[in-house]
Amino acid sequence: MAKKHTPKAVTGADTAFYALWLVTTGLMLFCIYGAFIYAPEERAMGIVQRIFYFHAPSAYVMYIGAAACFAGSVGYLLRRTDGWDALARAGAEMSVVFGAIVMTTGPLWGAKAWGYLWVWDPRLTTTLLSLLIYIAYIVLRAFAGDGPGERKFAAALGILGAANLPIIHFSVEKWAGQHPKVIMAKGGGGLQHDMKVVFFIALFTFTLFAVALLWARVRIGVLEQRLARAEQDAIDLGLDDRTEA
Amino acid sequence: MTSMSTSISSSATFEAEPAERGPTEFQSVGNAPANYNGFTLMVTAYALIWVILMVWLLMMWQKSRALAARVDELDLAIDRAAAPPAAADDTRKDASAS
Repeated sequence: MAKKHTPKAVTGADTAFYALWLVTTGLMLFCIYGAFIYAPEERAMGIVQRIFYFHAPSAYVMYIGAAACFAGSVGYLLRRTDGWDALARAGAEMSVVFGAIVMTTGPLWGAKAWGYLWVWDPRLTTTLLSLLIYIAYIVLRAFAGDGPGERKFAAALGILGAANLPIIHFSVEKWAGQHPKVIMAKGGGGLQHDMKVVFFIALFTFTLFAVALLWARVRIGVLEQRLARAEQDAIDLGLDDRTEA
Repeated sequence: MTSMSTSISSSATFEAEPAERGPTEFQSVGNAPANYNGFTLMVTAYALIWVILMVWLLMMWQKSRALAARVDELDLAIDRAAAPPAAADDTRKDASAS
């Protein structure tokens, strides 16, 4: 039985959603100022090192997306609800977008720092592998249908994709390669104070950005589910033609 | 015999002084690092970041708008169909008046 349609009211969640976007946009503008003006130029690499302030946080957001995909996939396998599936899908999409950013900005930085656009370094290779796994996930969801079987298969892929994350993270420490060690970790090169300030603000901003993007993508997933229910109601009432609606 | 010895000696001279005659072959730089302009690389990197993000955001926004419009359209049609006939007539009249 179709439920009575009620006009949409602005909820507290909507306000929080738009407030989050507003704060994130403001912080992002500050990050751009910090990366180009506030942070000093690096002595050895020069201006190209400024890619770092968006490259490293993008890699971090790629991890967040993969973690969200993992959580959503596990949640879906345990509960079989649309919400968990929407979270997994949103996380995979975010991983692909930020993985693409990492895989384009990294080689551009490397071109100056190393003299090569690409080397088969352990970290670069494992990151590329991770990006390909999440592209496979997106392609699967786009073309294989949205049935329970396809969702379960995608959830398994989402869990497999997360298994690669620790390999990416520890690859620079376990295997020798061109990629520098994690800058703040033990054995890393460290950062000059102003560079560190900009880097941590960028990390915080990208964390909020990741939450805002995930939230936006999950809202779309919820809308898709509302549409599916409305279409079912329309079919039940005999409104099976799009023009009639 | 004389001509042969002349030929050999001229060949030896050619091999001994290649610089005066210019390069005799082209060689690949192999895996030697290329020298890129840092400013161009940085501008390209930031341009790519914003293009990738904007394309994704635009796609999400368009999808969200299309879905919301379709859901509203369907909800309205369902309300009309589910309403009693008299109320449905009133709804139609209101819609035609507006």
